[in-house]
Amino acid sequence: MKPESVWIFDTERDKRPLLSVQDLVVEYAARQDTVRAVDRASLDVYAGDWMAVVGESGCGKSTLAYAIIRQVPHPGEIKEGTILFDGQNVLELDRRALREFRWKEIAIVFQAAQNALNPVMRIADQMIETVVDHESRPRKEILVHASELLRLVRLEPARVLRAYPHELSGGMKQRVIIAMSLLLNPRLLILDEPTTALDVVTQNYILDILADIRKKLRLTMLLLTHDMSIVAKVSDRVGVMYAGQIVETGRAEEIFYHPWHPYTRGLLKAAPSLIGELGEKRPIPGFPPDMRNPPPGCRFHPRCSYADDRCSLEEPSLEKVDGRQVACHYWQRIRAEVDHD
Amino acid sequence: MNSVAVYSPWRDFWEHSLVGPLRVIYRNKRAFAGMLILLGFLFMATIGPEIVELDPEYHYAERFRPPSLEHPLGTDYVGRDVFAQLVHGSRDVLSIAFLAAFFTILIAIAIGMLSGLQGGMVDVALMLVTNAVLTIPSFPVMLIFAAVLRVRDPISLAFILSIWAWGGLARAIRSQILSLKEREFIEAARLLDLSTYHIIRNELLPNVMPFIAINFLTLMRNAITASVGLMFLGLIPFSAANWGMMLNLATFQSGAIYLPQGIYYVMAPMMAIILFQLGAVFFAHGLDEVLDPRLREG
Amino acid sequence: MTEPLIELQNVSITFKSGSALRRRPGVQAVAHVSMELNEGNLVALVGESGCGKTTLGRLVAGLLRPTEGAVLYRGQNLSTLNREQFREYRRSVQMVHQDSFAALNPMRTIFQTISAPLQRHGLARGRREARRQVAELLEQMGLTPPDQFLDKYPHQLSGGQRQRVVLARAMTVQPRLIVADEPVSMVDVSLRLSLLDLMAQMNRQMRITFLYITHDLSTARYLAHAGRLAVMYLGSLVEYGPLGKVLEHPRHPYLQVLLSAVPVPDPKLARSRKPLPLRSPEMPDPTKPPSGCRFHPRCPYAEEICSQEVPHLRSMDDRFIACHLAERIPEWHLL
Repeated sequence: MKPESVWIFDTERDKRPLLSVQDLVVEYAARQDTVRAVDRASLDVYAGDWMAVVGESGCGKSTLAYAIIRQVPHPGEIKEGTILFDGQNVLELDRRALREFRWKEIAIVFQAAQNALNPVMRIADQMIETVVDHESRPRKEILVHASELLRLVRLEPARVLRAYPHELSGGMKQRVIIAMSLLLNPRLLILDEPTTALDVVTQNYILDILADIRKKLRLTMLLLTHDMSIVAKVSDRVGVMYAGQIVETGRAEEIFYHPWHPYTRGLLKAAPSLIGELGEKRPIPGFPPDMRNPPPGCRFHPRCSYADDRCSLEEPSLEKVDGRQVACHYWQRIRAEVDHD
Repeated sequence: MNSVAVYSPWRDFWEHSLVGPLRVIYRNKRAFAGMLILLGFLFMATIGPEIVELDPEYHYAERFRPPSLEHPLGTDYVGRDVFAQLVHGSRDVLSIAFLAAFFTILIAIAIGMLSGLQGGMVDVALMLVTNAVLTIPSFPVMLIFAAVLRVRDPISLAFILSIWAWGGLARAIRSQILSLKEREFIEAARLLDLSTYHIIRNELLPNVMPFIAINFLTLMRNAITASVGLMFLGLIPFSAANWGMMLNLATFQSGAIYLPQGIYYVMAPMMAIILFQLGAVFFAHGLDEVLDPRLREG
Repeated sequence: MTEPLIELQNVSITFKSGSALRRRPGVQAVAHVSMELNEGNLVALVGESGCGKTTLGRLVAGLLRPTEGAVLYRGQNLSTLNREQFREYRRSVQMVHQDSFAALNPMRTIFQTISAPLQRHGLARGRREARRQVAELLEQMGLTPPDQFLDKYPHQLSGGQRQRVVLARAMTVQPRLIVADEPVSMVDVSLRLSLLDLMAQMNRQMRITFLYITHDLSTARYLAHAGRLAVMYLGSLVEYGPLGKVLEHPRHPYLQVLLSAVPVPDPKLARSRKPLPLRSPEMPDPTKPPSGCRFHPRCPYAEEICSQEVPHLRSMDDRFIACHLAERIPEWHLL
């Protein structure tokens, strides 16, 4: 039985991606060293897709998200690379164009965004303020739109608009934030760990709601998380991030059933879950890299069981194969092993 | 093979408590400068009076001379060397400041800790007292004390200065203790059945120390200001050569502030105070790096 | 047959709120829980945030007193222990917290932190001996070479390394039971397994009882697959039994709902699963718990009796369950 299709648009591989990040470098200047949070990362997000970028804490995915909307916090700086949104280079936009771009083309829901709500303002006022900051619309119209969006996230507009943030539960606040991010009709929604700090049942609920609004509003989604299980549940395409680089991309089934990169494989093996053979679970040896002094060559090589001398000298480039991408010198070897299993 | 065999307790102490902190201070240029200034004053207060001689004789012919090789800061209204007076006066001023800060901290730690750890009625009572002390303006009270009690030596003056100065610090220590009390590592210490004495001395105190150390310098500065102020007003005339008295004599007794030549006499003690404050502030900036290991690395 | 290490007899804990002037209704964080922990047991206590599992853990560790009911340590009621006995109990039960950074004094080196209990209990005389023992403990906990860690401060270590330090510190007093409250949730995913493996090893080789508290069923399964699972909801224990069987064949509706909602890292499976629907999406107010069975407003199978009578934990087949309709709940399987 074919599972319910989550494909609503045909994404032909030749079609230009809605968002294309190429060789992005973002550095943070600390007192004595520089940290390369994003180290030549490349990523393509196609219109209508739900793309997930999965990586552990410190891999640079949050920085990547900030960079896409050009809001990297100080002392961070985008040093190199291009970010193309619908063909336009985001990094070259002037201030006015940038204001049009942020929130109106791409919106972002930050981690623990529930805390971003102003505790002394009612929800209605905060929503109005969000819109009015970017364009002039009559108050009534904004409230009508807001009510629609609140209903879309399964909240009761009458009750929520009047409330203050502390009167709402964590899950409800998260939904309010999601609704707020949609007020200016963006085309791409970036979500940074939207469900951490939420219990499992609420998490499921939020993910269902997101799937719903994606369909109804024809949104493209970019979800950033460390949780492989969430990725498996909702995403069409997956990008795996390690030490500031995207090391593998592909469709969800390809990544989960036929991973080609050793880190992806290690991550799948190291994530405990309710299913699967316990005996096959294995932690990834070693420690995440120190981003002030990352390992030379392939960043993953100190922890990789397939690594040899070449890996410590030469950085592998992101190769395109059959609609997938992988950055590993020996990916064919891993492919052979995985196909064999 | 036992890799711990080469451990030596002496080397550990040397590295940990002396060379290590010095290295940290040296890295912060401002703090290092501050430390040098303070060391200079320490030297001046301890050894200085032995080296520099204070000639108490009046030499009217030499009054209000500008700085020269013989008199590096000039002379006062009766021809005495200003620099020598400064050096001799520093001993009293700095020891009063040090002692006052020390007493204040003792009182503040005792009250703050007791209040924070005990809670309940003890806390309520102690905080009532603390608030009273904080509300009553200190300088006027010290004025009255000084005038009424006839202070004769540095130690009693230091004590009087400290009686009204501990309020803010006690409150701050109490709130730090209150928040530390609930932290998991304190809970773990209780679970490991560590003694209350150990918890206070080895767990709580090190966390409060950086705060106290920085406040120590602030308290010294306040004490100097207060004591110099009192001496300036002529309320504690127990030594002619200390800075406050110098200012008093310069302003009220000798007319030095009205004469252009008298400027060195007036400015010398003031500059000394300012320089000390500067040294203390600069040093304090580096002090929290030394004491809090979290701030040490780049 | 020796008596259990820790026995909870119908314990309840109610937190009072409000000042002496305006008493507000308290929150009953733990409601009538009975449980036994024997030597060498490995029990995973799961539930969502607010279910009272952390409170129960702190009760077992002796940091809280029960408002009702009794806690027995080796057959003796804790409230009747004299000072010497209570200190022995204190040493026998240690705790590992979620936040390893807060669990270590930031101003003390690893050596100072671990040697403190060693010196307190006279287990090491002199500094050299203490250093040797601390190094040994660090090595046992997988921190090698120990020299690299002795003089470091907590902020210089990673989350996983800090947790190992916390475990080493707990081991200084040779505990019989360790309450681990979410020990891996702040550790990187790729490193969680090795920490869990360490705890499993401590349980197997040193016969240390573990009470592993978490909201994450996946890690509970990994660690306690040969042990038992206890599920809590709003302060009550709802199901308790051998973990493998309970997960394969959950009987309590709440556990069924929970398991159906936990995501799995398998796209095809994830998309074909339909979570069990709840009767109401409203989360209950902990200060005003529902009457009777606390789960009844959300339970898909609730009947009248559920809102009237509180179900007690009773034994059924291979486990304990607190549900009036346990025999009639439809079967639900994970796969």
